[in-house]
Amino acid sequence: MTSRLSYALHLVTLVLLQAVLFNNICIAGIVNIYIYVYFILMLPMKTGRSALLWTGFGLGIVMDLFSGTLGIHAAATTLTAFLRPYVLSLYASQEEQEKYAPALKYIGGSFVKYAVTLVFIHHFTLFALSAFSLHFLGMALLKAVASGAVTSLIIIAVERLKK
Amino acid sequence: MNKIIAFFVRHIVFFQFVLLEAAAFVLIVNANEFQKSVFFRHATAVMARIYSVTGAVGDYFGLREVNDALARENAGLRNEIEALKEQVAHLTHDTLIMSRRHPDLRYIEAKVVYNSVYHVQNYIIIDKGAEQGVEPDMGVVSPDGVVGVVQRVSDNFAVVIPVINPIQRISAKTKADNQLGSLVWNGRNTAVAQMEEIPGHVKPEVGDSIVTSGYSAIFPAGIYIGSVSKVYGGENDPFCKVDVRLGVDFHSIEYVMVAVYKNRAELSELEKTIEHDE
Repeated sequence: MTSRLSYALHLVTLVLLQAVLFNNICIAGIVNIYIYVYFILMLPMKTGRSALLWTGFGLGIVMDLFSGTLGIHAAATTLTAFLRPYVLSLYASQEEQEKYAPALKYIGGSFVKYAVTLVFIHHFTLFALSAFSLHFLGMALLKAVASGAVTSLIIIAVERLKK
Repeated sequence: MNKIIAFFVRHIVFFQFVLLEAAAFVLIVNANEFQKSVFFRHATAVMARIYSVTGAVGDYFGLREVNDALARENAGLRNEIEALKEQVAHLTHDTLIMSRRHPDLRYIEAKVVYNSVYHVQNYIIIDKGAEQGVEPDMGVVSPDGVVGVVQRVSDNFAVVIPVINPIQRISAKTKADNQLGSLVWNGRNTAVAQMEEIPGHVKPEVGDSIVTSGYSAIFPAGIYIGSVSKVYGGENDPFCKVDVRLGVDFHSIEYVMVAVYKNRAELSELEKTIEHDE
């Protein structure tokens, strides 16, 4: 299977999973899983920074349409896509960065740190913006930590299965 | 000049980032504005179709509860018919009382096709829209109480901002003393909303019913909202605040009714002229 097709399949699966399943799940009132951000994490290493940004923005707009929150997902995914190269170079060695994609099977433990950091950034931006008021900032932080942990766990579990 | 261009080229990624973020923020800030309503007019229809398909699957799992609820409602309605029959029998000669029942109010039944409760900015989509006579700013109620207000409509669907969204403010009053206040939600517990700006000299008590005030063309007066579960504020405060346990369980809401006033357009037109004068 060509990798282009594989990415397209991943994209459709993640967006539908998010819209149909995960948007309807809430655990203990604070855990909302935003699995679709996984798509930004998995793009190949050689993806250009502009391409990353536009992919992130586009993905966010699609999610916004599904949840009726115009702009909020787009702002979070664009930030995540922008920070991806920096977070990657923070954790992964030069050698690891020359691999095909930032996946658990290529870069091992660096992937865990990379995924957790970006997922937290994405979730926190999302919760803070969706509350859109400093009054809820403490709750946004709590939700970002709890939800980010669950989303990261799912992503890492999926990565392990792919290994 | 060349240096400026070189500077832009070198930081092209950063500028794109700023541009995209700016675009996203423009979209967020313009929420509830005209552009959004035009944009969502189409988007809502598409998304609502997807959700009505996925919702149809979910409906099968909820059939038992829905049946129970319908049976209960049926029983209630039957009782009411019997009671009314009896009344009519006594009143056939006195037409005055009959004509006093809300002649200019009717309800449109609708099914909930999408419902969010896990966010701060929650909303609901129902399967009736402009073609069925639903318009923005119409009130939405269920047998358990007030649900929310229609925000925007597409041809066959409408977006409802429920009580459990902080942008929703509903004019409410205590049933016992007719004290006015304003009902908002603080973003925490979906079963409890807050009623603010109640005059402090007549304190509501725990258990008091809170109903709609009827001071607008959105809801008729006296529709149940919930009951007081906690009272805040000291003895001498000019205003007090209460927690209201909502009658509607937003987690399981499936069927709602949209309240339509015959002369609604005329009334809101009149209200607009007041805003212009100020």
